[in-house]
Parts: sequence; C-alpha cells; structure tokens
Amino acid sequence: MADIQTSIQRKSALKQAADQPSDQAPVISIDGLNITEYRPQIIAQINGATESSTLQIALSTVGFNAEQFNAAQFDSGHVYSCDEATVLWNGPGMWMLVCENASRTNMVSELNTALQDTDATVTGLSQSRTILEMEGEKLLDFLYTGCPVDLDNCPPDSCFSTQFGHFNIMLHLKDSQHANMYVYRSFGQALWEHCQHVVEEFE
Amino acid sequence: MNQQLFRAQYGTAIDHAKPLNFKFNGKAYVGYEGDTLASALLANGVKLVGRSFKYHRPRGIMTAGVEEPNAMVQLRTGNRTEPNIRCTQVELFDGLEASSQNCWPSVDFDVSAINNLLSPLFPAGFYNKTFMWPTSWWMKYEHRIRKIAGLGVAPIESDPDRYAKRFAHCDVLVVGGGAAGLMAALSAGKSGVRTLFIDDNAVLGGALRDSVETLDGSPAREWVESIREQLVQMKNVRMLTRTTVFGYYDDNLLLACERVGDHLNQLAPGQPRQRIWWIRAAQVVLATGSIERPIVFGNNDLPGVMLSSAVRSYARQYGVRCGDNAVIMTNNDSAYHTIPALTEVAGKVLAIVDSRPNGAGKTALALATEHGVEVINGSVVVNAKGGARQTKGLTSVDIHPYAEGELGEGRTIECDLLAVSGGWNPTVHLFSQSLGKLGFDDKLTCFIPKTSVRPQLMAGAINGEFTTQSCLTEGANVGRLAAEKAVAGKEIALHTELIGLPTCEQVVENPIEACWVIPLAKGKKAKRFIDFQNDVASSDVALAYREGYQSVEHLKRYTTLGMGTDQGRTSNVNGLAMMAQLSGRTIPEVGTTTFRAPFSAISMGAIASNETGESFMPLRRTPMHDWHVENGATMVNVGLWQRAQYYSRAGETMMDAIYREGKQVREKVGIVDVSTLGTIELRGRDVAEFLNRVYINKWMKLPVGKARYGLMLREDGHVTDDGTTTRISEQEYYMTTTTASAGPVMSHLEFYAQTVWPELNVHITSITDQWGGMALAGPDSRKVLEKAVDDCDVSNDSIPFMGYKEATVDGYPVRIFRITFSGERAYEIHVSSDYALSVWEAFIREGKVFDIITYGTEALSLLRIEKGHIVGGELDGRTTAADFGFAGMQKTEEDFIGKRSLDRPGMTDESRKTLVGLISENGEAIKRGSQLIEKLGDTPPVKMLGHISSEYYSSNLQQHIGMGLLEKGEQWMGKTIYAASPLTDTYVPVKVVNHVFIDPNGDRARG
Repeated sequence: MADIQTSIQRKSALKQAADQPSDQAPVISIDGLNITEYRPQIIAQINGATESSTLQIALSTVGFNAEQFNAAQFDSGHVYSCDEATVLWNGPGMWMLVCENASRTNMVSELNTALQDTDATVTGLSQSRTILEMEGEKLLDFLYTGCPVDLDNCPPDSCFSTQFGHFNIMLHLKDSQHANMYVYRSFGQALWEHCQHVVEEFE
Repeated sequence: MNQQLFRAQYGTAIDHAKPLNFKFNGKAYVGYEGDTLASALLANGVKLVGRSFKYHRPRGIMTAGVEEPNAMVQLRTGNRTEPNIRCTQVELFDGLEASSQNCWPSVDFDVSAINNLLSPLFPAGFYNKTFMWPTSWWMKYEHRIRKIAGLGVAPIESDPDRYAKRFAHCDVLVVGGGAAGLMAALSAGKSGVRTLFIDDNAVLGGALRDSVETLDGSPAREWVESIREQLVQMKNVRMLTRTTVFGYYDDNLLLACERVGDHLNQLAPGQPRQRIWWIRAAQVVLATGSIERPIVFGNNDLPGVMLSSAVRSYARQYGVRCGDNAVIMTNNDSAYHTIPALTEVAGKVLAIVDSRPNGAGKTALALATEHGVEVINGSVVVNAKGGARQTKGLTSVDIHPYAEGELGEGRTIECDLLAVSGGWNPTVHLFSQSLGKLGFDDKLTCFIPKTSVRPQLMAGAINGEFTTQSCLTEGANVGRLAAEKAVAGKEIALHTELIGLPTCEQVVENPIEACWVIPLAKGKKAKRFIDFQNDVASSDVALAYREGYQSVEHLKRYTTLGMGTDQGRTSNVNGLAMMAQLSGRTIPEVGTTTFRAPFSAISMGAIASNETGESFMPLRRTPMHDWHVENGATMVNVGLWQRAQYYSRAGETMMDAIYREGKQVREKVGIVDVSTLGTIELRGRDVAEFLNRVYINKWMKLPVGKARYGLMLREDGHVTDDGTTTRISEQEYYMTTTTASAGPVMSHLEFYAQTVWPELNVHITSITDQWGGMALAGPDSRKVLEKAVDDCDVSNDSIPFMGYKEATVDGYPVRIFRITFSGERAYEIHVSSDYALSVWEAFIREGKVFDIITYGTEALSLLRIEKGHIVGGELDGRTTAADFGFAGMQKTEEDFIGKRSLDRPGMTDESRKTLVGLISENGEAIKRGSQLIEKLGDTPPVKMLGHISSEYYSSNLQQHIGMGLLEKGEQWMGKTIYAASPLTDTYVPVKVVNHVFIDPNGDRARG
C-alpha cells in the first residue's frame, strides 16, 4: 500500500478548510500574528535511531544528506531544516521527518527497508497531526497564554512537547516570531477554535 | 448634583475635572476619576457601609486598602454582580452600582441587629455547642444560620466576561511598588536581568503616595514618576500595575491576578476583565510593605474609627476629610503625620492621645505643635461612643491616663473621627506562604521574616525598615543582589552601572511602645473587637483561654480569629498579644498560624481563565464528525471524543432510532464510525515475542494477513483490556484497543518495552489519529464491500473471519479487517484520516441499494450485549480471564504479564463471580447497577450474589436482557434470581442464561 496518494484530495481536520483545496488554508490573522494550517505531504516517525549515523542512513535513503541540513551530525534536542524537509528530535532516539516532497509516495516503506539492519523503524504519521504555522511579533505573547515553557530562553529551532492551554502539543519554535504547533489531528478543530478565541485578546 | 461635602480641592490621585456618577444602595452620588469607591463614599459623607457578620453591628470604612475588614459590598448587578468586594479596592467608574450586604431591610435599619443585643447569648463556639443535637436538625439550622450570617449573593447566571491567563518567566520578580520595590526594580533592571515588577495599585509609590516628603528635592510623587518612566524605558523590565500577587508556591512559582478591566464600565471587545499570571522567577524580591494595626478598646468598631494611615491616604490622595473633628490615638510617631494631612483638607485635630509616657520624637511632636494640637501623653482611648443605634457613627471618645495596666480618671472629647495607630505589621503573607519562618521583633512589636527557604530577598517595611531612607537603601541593595543571585553560575555579565540613592529628610523618632488591648473603665461594658470581619471580640479570646483553647491553632479555629477573607491582617497580632497576656507567655511563645494563598480573594472566573468550555476539555473529533452532525446524529461525549450516539429520523424517539438501527444491522447492513478505537502500531524484530508476553494467549505463529483476539492482564492478574492485533507484514502489527483504554494500554506497553524488556526490538507508536475507521456490519455487509472496493475479491475465502486485506475504495487505500463487535458478518475498514470521510461516503453511496443505515454508539452497545462481548462494565479491574470463560486461552507453558498472580487463592476461589446472561422474566427493564439476589423477602442484610454489568432492551429478541457477574454463575444456569435496585425500588425477576444471546456458535460472524 502506498503511503500517500498524491492524486487525490486530502481533507483537513479543520472545518474551515474541509472543502478548500489544500493550498487555500484557513487563516487567523490579527496585527502582529498570523496562524494558518501547514500541511506537509509526509510525516514519518523514526524510532530507535539513537545514533546520528542511523538517521543519516534513513535520510540518504530518501535523497537527503546531512549537508543539506547544515549538520555534521544530528544531535538530540535539535531541529534540522532544509527547503524540502524538517527533522525534529522528539524523544530519545526518536525523530520526526516532516517532508514536502510529494513524489516519494512510498517513503515510509523505503525507510523501513533501508533501516532493516538497524534497530530503528519508521511509522507513517502523515495524516495524524494538525500543524498550525504561526508567525508575527506577538507570537510569544500569544504562546504564553497557554504554554508554560520559558520561550524567551529557547535557542532558535527548539522542539519540545508541552501544553498549550489544555492541549498536548509539540512545538517547533523556529525563532521568536515563527513556530509550528503540532497537535493530534482529532484535536485540530478544537485547537483552532481555541486559538481563534485567544487571539481576540490581542486584537 | 455633586454634594461631596467632605471633599477639598485637593488630592493627588483624582481628577476634579472628570466627575463620575455612581450609585450606592440605590442612591446616586458623584465621585471623581481616580477615586476608590471608599474615597467617593467618604467624600459624600457616607459613613455607614455595611453590617458586621455575626452581630449585625453598624460598620464603616476603616482602612484604605486590601486590609479592610468592614466595608465589603455587593458590586455591580445582574450576571456581573460580585459579593464581598472591599470598597477600598474598587476603582470608581461611571455607572458603578454597589450595595451593602448582610442587612435587611436596609443598612440603616437592619432587623438582625437584634443579634447585638443578644450577643451575650452567643459567644465563640456558640453554633458548635448549641446546634449539635439532634444531628438530623443540622440541615434546618444551617439554612437559617447561613441566611442570618450571610456574605452577599453569588450570581446565578453565567459570567459574561472574559478572563485570560499568561505565563511569565523572569530573573527577578519584584513584588510591591513602594520606595523599596521601586529601588529594587530599578536596581535589578539596570543590572540587565529580566525583571518583572508588580504592584497591587493603579499608581506606584506605596506609602510615598501619602507622603509630603521630598526626594532629591522633589515631592515624593514626582520622584516616583521619574522612576516609573525609567522602568518603562527598559526593555528588560515588564511592569504590571493593578496586579495582586496572591500565591507563592514551590520552585518560586507565583500567581498574580491583574485587574485588566475592573476599573472600566465596559470592556472593549476581546478585552479580559482579569488575567492570571503564572510566574516563574529565579529570584523574588518581596517589598510588600506593612499594614497599620488598630488598638483594641471599647466600641472600636464604630463608623468613624479608622486607621490613622487611612485617614492620611484619603486626605492626601483623594482630598477627602474623613471627619470634621478628629482625635488621634497612637503608640508610635507615624500617626502624627496625619495631623497636617487632615488639616490640609479642612479637618480639625482636637487632640492626639499617645499611650507612651514620653510621647513622640522631635519631628513628630513639631507637627502637633505647629498645628496647635493638644498632645495627651501616657493616655489611651478607652471607649468610643455613638448615637442611639450607632448608625450615625462616632460622637465622642473617653480618654484615660494609662500606666502599668491601670486606668486613671477619664475625660470625654466630642469628635466624629478617631484615627488609630497601634504600630505596623509587615506584610509577610507571601513570605509565609513560601514557608519562610517569622520571628517576633520586640523593639518593633511585630513579626518580621527570619529564615527563607526559597530563592528570595526582602526589602523595606516587610523587614521592619519603616523610614523612607532605609527602604530606599535596602531596595537598591537587594535589587542588585537578587540580579547577581539570579545569574549566578550562568555566563551572563551584569551591567555595572550602579544607581544613586535619592536624598531625603532625616527623621528623628521615638520608638514604638506596645499597646494592644485597653481595659474597660470600671463598671463599664462594651465590646472590644479584635477581628472586625468575623466579629471576634476580646471576650471571645478570653473565653477561648478559659476553655483551654490556648494554642494559636485552637484559638484561631475556636474563635475564627483571622479566618475571614481579610486573613486577619488587622487582627492577628492583637489576638496573639491578648492570648499572651492572658496565659503569661510572650507573643512568640503563643506562635503564629500559617498564611495561605490566596493573599486576597480571587474571582472564580480568573482562576478558570480562558480554559473553560471546550478549552477546558478539548473535544476530539473523528474525520467523519461533521458528516454525522449534518446527517441528524445526536452526538455524545465518550471521554474526550465526540461520537454519534444515534441518528434520528422524523418522528422517532431516541429509543425508536436505537431499536431501528440495531434491527437493521441484524437483518441487513449498517455502518458505524469506529475511528475512536485506540490504534497502536508495533514494529520491530521482536514484536511477536513482545505480544506473547503481553497477551494471555499465543502470538508467535500469527501469520501475516491474520488478526487475533487477545486479553491483557495487569500484574495482579486482572484483565485490563481486550482487543485485536493484526499482523500487517513481517515486522508490523496493528493493535486496536477499546476507546477508553487507548491511553492506558499505550502506557502499559511502553512501560514494558522501555523498562522491563529493553532487550526486545519493539517500537510502539500511537496511530489512532492517523487512521479513520468504520465498521460495516450485517448480513449484506459483504455485498456493500464488494460494490465499494475497486476490483478486489472480498469473498469468504479471500477475507475469512479474522482475515486482513488491503484494497482501494474510489482510489483511496484502505485496510480491511474481518472482525466483528456486533456478532454479525462484519468488516472494519481503516483508512488514512484525510481520506476517511470520502471512503465513508463511498460506502453510504454504494450501500443505498442494500438499505444501509448508519448507527451510533447506543445500537453498537445493544448489539454487543446481544452477542455477549465484554467492555468497560465487565472489565472493571476486578475480573479475570477465567471469570469470562477465557481460561482456556491462557498459555500454560509460557509466561505472560499477570500469570503468576493467577495462582493466588482469591483468583482460584470457586465462589468467584463469573459472566452470565440475564433475561427479564416479567418484561420489566433491568436497572443498571442492580444487585443480584436469590430471592425477595429476606431480612436485610441480604446476601448479594453479584451485579448487573450491562443491560439493554433487545429489539431483535424483544426482551430486556443483561449481562452480569454472578457468584458461581454456572450453577445458576436456568434458574430465576432477582435484579434488585433498592434506590429505584425495582426488583426484577431474571433468568440466568448463557451470556451470548445471539449466534452462540458464531455462524453469522464467520459466514
């Protein structure tokens, strides 16, 4: 079974986007903050990649190399990005590969084949998350309405699991004005509505 | 009309050009922008504000801040009304409405004031002693007592306002905006560290707001403004005013409430009324100042008896004259500064009564001399007097010489204001909340912080530093020190710029001399209040002493001293002093109680903040959620999930719909959304071995393309969950769990994989959200599946019972599992979530010719009971596999979780309850939760043989059926027992049968 089907329409978890083409994502926009849905083609969870070399095997299998990510090696606690993909550390030996490239429809299978001689495995999670892309000068104030982490002290491209209000989220804080918030797909609509409610305070 | 007869053209806090209209007890008044409700009421000559809690005595405004024990009001009206609000803390706004509470029919004439006359009958402990018998009457007593001792009315409609929440982190948190706090914030800010500076008031300055001192040659308020401006310019400093830090918790977590819109008549769209701040601070500087305490004497609660500092505040900040003819009583020099303040607003100070034989120091004495005020040293006010009902307030005071506990010959002075100062209590509440230890300073006659247990420093009056100069110096030093401590061990260099200290006047003071409780003149009777809010008088403390409640903890609970919402800010030390006096101990020997959060009352809305409704309990929606809603489903919460409960058609009741759905599935075909089932992917070389250890049955030989049912036990041998696991490929398994157990099962598996068997190569990932699921069930399900899938053999040979196959539907890849929950021929179709709605719609479309219906959780439940499948009611944490008849599934040779516990005597006891089916014999519904008993009419206690775990009316069998756990269930087969529900007075005769009501051989499921 192919991991993704590029020829057919995917439906967002967000009600506002349900009948929209995927390139017309819903937007929450106020002065100083924009929130929109980010829908990558592929999300693959790589488990058991405790060594940087294992991750490099995985990435090279699907056409990436460490240089693209400006990384000599992949260290835990970091996020590595290039034009087509982002690799987020999300636990010991756990990396989430978020990829834009729609041509690799069997990426998860290919990765598992490539890693079969290692202790690592890959699980396809492409449709398991709603990702909210946020940017603007009010980003940190907005996040502080529900996130207890000291965001001002986070280095660029931090990634951590935390809470936003009563939502369990994974936050990729790119810098003080850019972040991606990952939440389980089933919570997507509720999180979107929560964001709509919270931004009213900043209007 | 503006009738502010007690207002002078003066006041640093108010704007005379901006009048504001407000109502108190229905009467219209005018105040000014910058006023508090208290200052506006005093300006309008309103002295009587409320009635006391227990005796309904007339009470007026006593203080000017958070310590106010008397003047609590019902603020606003309708769904915004709030009880017990201190009018000293309410900023006036146009249109404000407030009323007195705890009085009927009015504050001037309160029927319950008779309590005051009867007060000798109910001293401390009265309720506990009197209303203990008979116990059953307490509910009646309570209703009446609550009505009489009311504290305002809570709104019954929902709060329409918005509340917000914000997390904040800082290196240094400075609490308090007085002289010490300002210097600490400036010092920390200039060091370059992240500084959060919080003050309770709208305007910074603390006691400097009431002062005519000069700092660096400028009036104090101008100096305050210059510091404020500097702080505003610093990017590393955040300043919050109108914000009360009310809680101090572990790891320097402090909670504060910002009153964002309380001072506004109307909030802007989106604007919160209040915001809760959750603050993590590396270092905390407590510069919380001090609170003046009263002196205890006869009738000291009369309207017109106020704290000296409050009289000064109202005069200087609001231009309000609290009385025309004043007497001041004090035991320290600070009260002398009230003389010029009151004179500035055209008040007259008749005399200052100083309990110290030698009176005041030079500076203070000069103030009295300058204003021609009579100084009466070595004397005290023994009694205050009012009119007949005392509602008009103070009319005169009795003054007596007082030395070594003895009163001399007295005299009376007519006056309408008595300003009292019994010294100053450092505001140690937050320090105490942080578990810091207090020590009593005999010279200062107050408790001050002694030992900290948190990363914190204190500055200013909280440390017993009561002069402006010492507060400024300590604030500057502590601010810098806090910054240094905050960055200690980090590679952060502090700015080296040191701040200069402003020059200010030197004050020569005579020390305070303790003066706690004044005796009454011989033969006189009067109440001497210690705790004004809870109506605790000196006689109550004396009673507590006589009855043996001498420990501070007993004193507090017996008399309720300090247990009001003011936390005894004006009463605690006086109460302790009196107990010390009575028991021949020192005050520190009597001890202190612990202050607890919140420092001052916080609204429930602020505590809930923006996490209400769906933001409190976020709902999970399946990919087909909107379809269900649009197609008539009634949705129900199942945990956090929203599921379709049933789909109504025109004219149908809920039960009609459920029976129709259940029948259609048995006779034709139905489809149900099962996306909520927990779905877990297990990958790795050792998954089969892992499953073999987790489940009770065998897993080593499960072939690819096959599913298997399994039961999991806890370590204690009881069943924790059941479900199916399918082998998708050599190293990939797809596990489903019940909806409710998705999280616990995931944790259970992770625990064993990570900590017990780390040698196994198994990776476990929750994929519940990756897949949408639907169950197609009924005799025609195969026909619908055949029509819907794209060119795929779905015959019984191709997809047999417990088989698995991949296919496409309208081009969407799907996973087909031949498993059943209803007992019918059924297929679970799982599809990636973004495609799930399209596939669902494809099945509805293709199923139309077979009369396909959608069914909800109720029909699902009905169908599973008919089939005898176990779920939460049966998996209650007390049952074993053998109880369900699954003993044969258990591996005998190999180990699995819980196996060793199965040999315990309790698990093999022959009298264990086992799963049985039950049929109502008289056609009555079996009540959920009923107990199973052998026969009716036995004298209680009746032996309970078991209980009903599930029940429903079976539309297919046309009978009320149920499942239950029954002691030695097999022995009761075919017999009639009773399902007894004493709560509903229902006793239904039930026949014990096999728990599988439909298709016990499984022909339908396998066919």
